[in-house]
Amino acid sequence: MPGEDVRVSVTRSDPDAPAEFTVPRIRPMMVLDALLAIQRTHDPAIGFRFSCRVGMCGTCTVRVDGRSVLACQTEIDEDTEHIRVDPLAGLPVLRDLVVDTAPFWRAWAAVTPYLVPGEDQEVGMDAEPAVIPPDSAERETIDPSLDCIGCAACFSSCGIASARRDFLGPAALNRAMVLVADSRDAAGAHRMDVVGAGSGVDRCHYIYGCTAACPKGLDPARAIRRLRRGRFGGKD
Amino acid sequence: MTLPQFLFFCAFAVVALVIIAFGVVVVRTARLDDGGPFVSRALVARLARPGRDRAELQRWAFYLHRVSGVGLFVFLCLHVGDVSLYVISKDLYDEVHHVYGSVPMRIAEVGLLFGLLFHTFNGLRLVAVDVADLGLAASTRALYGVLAATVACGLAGSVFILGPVFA
Repeated sequence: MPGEDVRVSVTRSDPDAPAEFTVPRIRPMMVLDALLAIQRTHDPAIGFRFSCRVGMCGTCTVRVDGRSVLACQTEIDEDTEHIRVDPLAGLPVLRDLVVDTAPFWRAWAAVTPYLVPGEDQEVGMDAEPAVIPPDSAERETIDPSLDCIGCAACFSSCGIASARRDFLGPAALNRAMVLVADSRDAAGAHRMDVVGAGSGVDRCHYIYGCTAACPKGLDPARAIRRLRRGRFGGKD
Repeated sequence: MTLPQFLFFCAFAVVALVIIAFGVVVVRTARLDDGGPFVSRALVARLARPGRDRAELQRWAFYLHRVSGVGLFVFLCLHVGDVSLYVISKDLYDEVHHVYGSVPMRIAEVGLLFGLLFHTFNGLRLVAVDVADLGLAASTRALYGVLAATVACGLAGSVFILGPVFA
């Protein structure tokens, strides 16, 4: 018979602050529920982030028993009596579970993460929209890699990026692949230069932590493989 | 034991210490910096479950690859040194190389064999990931193959290396 309480260990910035809590179990219970219960009943000063609660803002990412997850989408199993919650790896801790995601976004910005139209393309409200059929090879390449919410779970799960080595990280490289594969984009050559540089795709050692951790089911490792091949075979 | 043999033993002890120290650094890094799970019952339970959780094996393969790589490199440095003794004196070379036939060295050689096999097979797996475009599941299956081949070949080689000890 599982217990009616859940023990939660939280990594705190202040070594004197309480780090062990017991909260009553609710069913179902997400990790975010446990953190909110701690904040309500034990320590209002505990620091963590959340916003949408439905897994689309990417704000509440933490490590639960070492695994990078969205706190709002990670259920505490019925047979789990104790969890350990840590801040994301590889990012400077601001307070408790709150990290500074600036390194993650710097890597994101490095790959020019927006579409750059060609000079001969019509742009603006009056332009004809580009027609890319849903069953085209281009769509089949790009579609599975969209929907990144920028939660940095992949960055934290990557044994290279999270260890503060010089690496753009899975999310930025995934975004680069999406845009390089987009026929409307004109900055592919520039992006390939960025991802082919020393901090680019060659730093990946195929640990697959990114693919395993992505809460949206994306496969950044696949994007990195495509980019590696793309260096030798043009845009693809 | 002669003085050259003692010095070789000392050099080999340094090699072993470097390997152990690097292993400790790698595991501490994994514990403190990397996003991987802590070595715990929860990790073992995850690795036993099918699906994405088993991908965590590849993180530990990465750590083992690094440790075995450094281990093989530092041993190779030592080995180049002891082989080059032949240039100085054939007798000195034979004297030092008698140490390789001792029981402790044979046990160490078994460890080196397993390290060499894992590093080789895992390196080929990483090449296959790029060349054959292996995804998460296929790469994990390939890792099982790497582990199986390492154990099988390692045990076979160990029989030859340790055979004289039990003869």
